[in-house]
Amino acid sequence: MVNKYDVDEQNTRFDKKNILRLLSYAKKHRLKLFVTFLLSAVATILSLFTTKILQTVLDEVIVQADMKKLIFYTLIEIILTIVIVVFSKLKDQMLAKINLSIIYDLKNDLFAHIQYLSADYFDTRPHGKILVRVTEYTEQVSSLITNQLVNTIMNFINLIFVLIFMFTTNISLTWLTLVGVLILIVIFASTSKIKRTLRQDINNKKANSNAYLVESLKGISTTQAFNREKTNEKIYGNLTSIQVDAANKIRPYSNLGWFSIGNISSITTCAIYFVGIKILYPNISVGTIAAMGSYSERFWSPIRSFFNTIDSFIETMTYLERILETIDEEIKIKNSEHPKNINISGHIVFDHVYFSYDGKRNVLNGIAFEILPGEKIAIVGETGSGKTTITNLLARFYDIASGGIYFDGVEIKEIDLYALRKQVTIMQQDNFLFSDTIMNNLKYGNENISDKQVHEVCEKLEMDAFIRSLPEGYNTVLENNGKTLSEGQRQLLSYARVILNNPKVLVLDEATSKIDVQTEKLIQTKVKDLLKDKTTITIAHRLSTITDSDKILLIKDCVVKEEGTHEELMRLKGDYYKLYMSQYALYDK
Amino acid sequence: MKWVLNYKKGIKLKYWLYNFMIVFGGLISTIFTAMVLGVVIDKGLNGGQFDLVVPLLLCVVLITIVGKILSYVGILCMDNFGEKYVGNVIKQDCYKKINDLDQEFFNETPIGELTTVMTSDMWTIRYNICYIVKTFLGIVLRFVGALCYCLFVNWKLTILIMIPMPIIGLLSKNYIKTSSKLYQKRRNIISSFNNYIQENIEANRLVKNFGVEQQEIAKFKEKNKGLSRHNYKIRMRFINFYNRVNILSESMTILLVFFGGIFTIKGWITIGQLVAFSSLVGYLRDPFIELGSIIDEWQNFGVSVERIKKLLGAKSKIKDIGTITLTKEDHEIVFDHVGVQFDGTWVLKNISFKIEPGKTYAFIGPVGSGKSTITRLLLRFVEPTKGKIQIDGIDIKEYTMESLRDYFGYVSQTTFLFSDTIRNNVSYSDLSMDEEKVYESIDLAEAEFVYRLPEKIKTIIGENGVSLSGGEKQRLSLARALAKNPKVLILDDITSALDFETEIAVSNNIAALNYACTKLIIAQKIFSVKDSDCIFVLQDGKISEEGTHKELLKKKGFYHEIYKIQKGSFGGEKSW
Repeated sequence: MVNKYDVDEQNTRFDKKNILRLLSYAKKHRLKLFVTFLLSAVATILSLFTTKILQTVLDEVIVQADMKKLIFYTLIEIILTIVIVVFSKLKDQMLAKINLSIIYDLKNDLFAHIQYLSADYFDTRPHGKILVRVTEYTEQVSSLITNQLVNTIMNFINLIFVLIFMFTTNISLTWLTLVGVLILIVIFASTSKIKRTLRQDINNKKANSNAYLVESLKGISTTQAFNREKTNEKIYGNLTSIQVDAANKIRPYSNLGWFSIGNISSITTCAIYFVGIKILYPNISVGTIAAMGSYSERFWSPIRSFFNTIDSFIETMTYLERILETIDEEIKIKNSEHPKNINISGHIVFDHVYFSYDGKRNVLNGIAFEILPGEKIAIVGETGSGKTTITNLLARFYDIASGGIYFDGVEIKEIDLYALRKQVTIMQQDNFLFSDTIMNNLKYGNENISDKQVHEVCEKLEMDAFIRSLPEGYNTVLENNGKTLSEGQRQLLSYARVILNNPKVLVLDEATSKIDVQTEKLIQTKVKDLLKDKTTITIAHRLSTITDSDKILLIKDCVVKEEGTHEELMRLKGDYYKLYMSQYALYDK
Repeated sequence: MKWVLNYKKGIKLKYWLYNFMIVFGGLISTIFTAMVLGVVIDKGLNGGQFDLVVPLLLCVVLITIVGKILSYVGILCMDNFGEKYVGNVIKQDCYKKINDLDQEFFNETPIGELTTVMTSDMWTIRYNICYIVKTFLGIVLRFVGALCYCLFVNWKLTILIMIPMPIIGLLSKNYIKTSSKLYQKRRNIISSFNNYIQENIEANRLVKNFGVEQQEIAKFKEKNKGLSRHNYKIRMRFINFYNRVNILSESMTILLVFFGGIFTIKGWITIGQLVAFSSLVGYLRDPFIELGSIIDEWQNFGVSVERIKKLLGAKSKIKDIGTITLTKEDHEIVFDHVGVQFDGTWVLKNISFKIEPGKTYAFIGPVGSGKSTITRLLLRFVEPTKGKIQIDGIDIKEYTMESLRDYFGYVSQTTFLFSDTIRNNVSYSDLSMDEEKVYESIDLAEAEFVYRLPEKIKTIIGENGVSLSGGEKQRLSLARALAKNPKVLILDDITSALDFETEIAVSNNIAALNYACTKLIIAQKIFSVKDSDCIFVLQDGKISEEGTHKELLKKKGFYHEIYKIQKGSFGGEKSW
């Protein structure tokens, strides 16, 4: 199903395994994490001592009016403080390092996987939705296993200490406090599901408006040419207000945490005083009641951050799921178990290939042909007859339904995918130029090419003089897909890039469609020279450009209808003849 | 901050009210209840006045609940306000601004930068207007309260404890000054990082095609590392700063132990007062620790605001200041000695010609001769550096941009389709268009393949129509322009991906439109232009020849040469 900007992505269910997978990212830092635990544990315990010192000063030193002792305790306090501060600095530094490292790893894994996803993954969803996963979601995930994990464990230890104190002081009053915790758990348990759903909704709506934004930016010229600004503003405005509404829907729940903890803690503390004074007194001392009261206050502070962690856990999991969903996305086109890394000579066989993009409508219906090494082949046929599909199959962007494609007798699926694509390159109809210098764009895929080689090819393509006339020459930085160049110039650059990539089999899908005839004529012989040892497959509408091909395939009704040299096909007086004559007639009037 | 709050009028009162609710609610539910509880302990427990306990406790519970409700409501209002203000006001204004900016801006600004401004910078300012002020206010109030109390009890001791304060102030000032560049740089790194990913996703087929996944991953890792390193640098700097603040604020406790001890021993203060001091020292100390985090957020906030301001302040060189509405009737268009300069080179030099309504004009010429620039001039994507373009004798700048662009049906060389249904793509100029009109336009553009799709015009085509072939995309973008019923149809080399038969059918359809429509055709094939009323041959930014097909052939000039080449490639052998 194709997704678009106003369609939510499907939500996933909660899966415990995801947590383990996130933890696996922290695995290689386990030693460091352990050290940070130790550091913060020591710092926490030492800070208890500093409170103790203040107590001692109050109780002993001042009563005894002992100046020496005061100085002594002050010195100890100074030392303790220094140790605590140094330890927490070390802890912070280590955590920051681990944090960044996890983000780094996660981003790398996600990006690497995206590189290998099949073409149809990108065809079926707005790119803005893929983008947020790499750029935003990854940033959100890592603090869960570092700062929050450490804090949670510290809080837990703290809590246990306080609980021990409380239980040893008075059991029944302690249970009273725990009733408060129980209520809190009920509140959190009953709202966690709705919080999760709302959070997922926020993410979906955000992805939607992001997708629309990215596309608006890419299609800005179309928008302006069609006076669509106002309508688009309305659509985007609508998407953002939906996003705002979704974000605001969760607020009453996400703020419920501190609100209920604040109230419950205050009520339980009061209840301790009440029960202590009104019911238990005089069976327990006033001191015990006061102590329980102050413990109760201290008890709630770790609880508070504990439950805050739960909230961010819920949030983080929704991001994590999207990331893992992408990482788990099946790579449909992949290497067989023992891929063969063959040197392709250019011998290609299409053996009754059937193919359909959607599983319903066949685009190729038993296409069969053979290409010999070094041959110059042309494929002709009406728009939409399946020519581009053949090129897509040659580079294995898609797998065929039945039949077989063979390179040097080896089934395409058996060949190492990346070796195949290195040797079989397609120059597509849509050429993308990166925001980089012209030189780097030309060297794309093969940085070892010398500048001289680049200049040579550009010269042969009649581009050298033009590039040099630019203010920065070859170092001119192109922006936004080479917007400042004309289409013909962009096509020539892509052409040069493909030639410089030096493949064994070169597929030219309307490679010169946007180049004028004179320029084409000028470069024709020079290009021939560049391509002389390569197998080339050309798709063209202008039959005049392909008449000297070694073989011409005419595709009609999803099969190869006619096949042969120009002369043979003309003699056949079939479809090719008709097509050629009709084009010729246009000039003969 | 000032800018954000002044951006729209009439919000300040609301904003401060919410802040007040949150801070006040927080204050009474913490400090006030703590004070009452103190009374409970002192008077109730230790003083034995048990009958005071119940009303006091009820009072505590009540105050807590009231305070919490106050801040709960305040926070909800504040968050609602922040989301709406940033999401619905600032963000939408930015989007509007982007739509209004001229092409030159987009030639220079990477898309990744704009998306970063529109997403993460917006997030940052929303977060900060909701949190910074209330947190800061809370800290200041607590600090001032505690300070007043301490000064009241013993001002000398208070001043001694507060010795580190000015140092913290200096440190913070210094940190803000030295680190702001790092924060700015981070935003730039993030922008280019995002732009890289966005391009990589867009160019996914090229990446696969060249088999360079490994290299792309390596490049990504490099960039990722750069970002990570810079983040690390900022983090470490911040931790260092935070740590120094921490030491200084912790030293306040030490100062209290030491001087407090001396003061008590000397009898200048009582033990009770020292206890009070020690319980309040936290309120004096903690604000400085929290201040560190606030400074971090504040730095981010400042950078994001600057970037949003920059976007909103960006100026189009091409301004929509015209007041005349260009009616959809027949008008005469004149290019009067028009020259266009880009980066110091003249793309068009001194071009003059006249376009009469209803006729067909064609432009032909080599790559980079300036053909497309002519069409872009008409839509005011580009402005003439020299000369002017007039419609009915009035400079096109005098017309409103909207009516001007509505006049033309523009089919650009680079087809751009949206990942939406075919219907919404064809009816892009007017979403309320009926289905009949959509089909009519599809028929005119010979996009008959639509009928073969299982879902017809409801088919969603992927981003930029990836699931369609080049020819199919070109026909849809033609249908989109025809659906506008334009008075002038501009076809910028649109038939390059079409086969001849389709092209002939399309040009017949266009010629037979049921209303008067001027056609401007850019093409490379002689046969696409030969029936035009006038053909302009462009060479090196100048019109070198003009006339009808026959006239130009007679001239035996450049046009004739093109003709010869194109015909020659057919004419060579006539053995059949």
